[in-house]
Amino acid sequence: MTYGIARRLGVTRLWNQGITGRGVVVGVVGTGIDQSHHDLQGKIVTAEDFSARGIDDGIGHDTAVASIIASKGAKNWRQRGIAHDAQLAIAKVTQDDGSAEEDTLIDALEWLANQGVHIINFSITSDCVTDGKDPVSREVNYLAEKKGIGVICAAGNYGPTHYSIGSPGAAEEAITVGCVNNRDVLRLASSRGPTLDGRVKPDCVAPGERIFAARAHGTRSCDIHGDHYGFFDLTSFATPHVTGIYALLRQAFPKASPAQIKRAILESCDPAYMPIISKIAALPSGFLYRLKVSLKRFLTRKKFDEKYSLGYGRVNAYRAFLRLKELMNDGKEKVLDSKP
Amino acid sequence: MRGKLKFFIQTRDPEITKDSRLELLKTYPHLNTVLVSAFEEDIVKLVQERGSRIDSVSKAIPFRLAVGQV
Repeated sequence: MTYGIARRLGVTRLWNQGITGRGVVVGVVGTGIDQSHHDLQGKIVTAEDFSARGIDDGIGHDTAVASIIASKGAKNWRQRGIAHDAQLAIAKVTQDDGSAEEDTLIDALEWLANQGVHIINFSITSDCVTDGKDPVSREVNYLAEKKGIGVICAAGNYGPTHYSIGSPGAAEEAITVGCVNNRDVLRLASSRGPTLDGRVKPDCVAPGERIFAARAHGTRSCDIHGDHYGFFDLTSFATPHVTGIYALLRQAFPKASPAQIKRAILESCDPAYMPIISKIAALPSGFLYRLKVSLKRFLTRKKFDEKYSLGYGRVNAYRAFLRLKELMNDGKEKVLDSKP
Repeated sequence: MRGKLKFFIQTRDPEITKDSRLELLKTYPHLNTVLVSAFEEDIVKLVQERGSRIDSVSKAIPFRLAVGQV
């Protein structure tokens, strides 16, 4: 994670107020962790292997995810994670090929809940489109509603077609994250909604282009940068930005419910944009006499595209903080507006 | 004949899980769900026979890392 992204997301303004994730425990479900990485040493309060392969990260996926959330920037303070004082609980679920069984995921989520985590980052998806009633999605809803744990899920990389959000991104209570590039333009591969039952997903988008993060020892699944770092892409690495922001808000407002924090994050998003190629694809190859009809179709299509691709927009930590402050002072629980 | 597969069955009826065609693997009481191992044909028959007592059935699917490069 680089300082530039933190500043762009309004995170540095929270750091300046002493909000750094202290006292918050973040669960990470994924490929394990390189515990010897200097940016993550002392960060891990507990770790469990559900894969029977050992806790070490042989793929490099979730060492990077963990560092985006909570890297302490041991050798360069500009490479600190979003919530760099947060602690981590790691659940390894994947086999060597990066796949994970559905029941293993539920077991891992349950175990993390029992460890007292406040948030769970879930950068694993299924490619089966769902209505959010599948077992893993229901487990995510259960954790948010009954145990007060926020679950942040990757939308997946099955775009640009619509109806490409799988489990658990389709879970109603999850915050589902798509990815944009460094100019806040949606990346083509980012999965798009709606869900099978017509709900808006992803909920929001975050940076997912060439994200600088810790690289697990001996792994090569990224654009390698030096001995310990690399550049990572797409929704897996957009998701931990939102997880980190959630951790900051959780520290600032420990009594806020997952629904309140979700609402604050979504209602405070900055604009994000559709890629130009989608706009061109949506344009009819035209005859002038059809211009009026075509324009109408184009505008309708654009609205559909934006609504089900970008959600509420690109997250902004500082504005989310202000919004949550309002909500907590307000004390009124309102239903989130269903239209982004 | 194809081998047994894993299925999640969401039901509030504990009798369903005692069906001899199902091998019970795990239970998730908070989700009213059980994980069973069974032949696909047997699951179809079970749903045909006792569908009104079953909320949903889904085949256990593999999840993958949300990575890639475009």
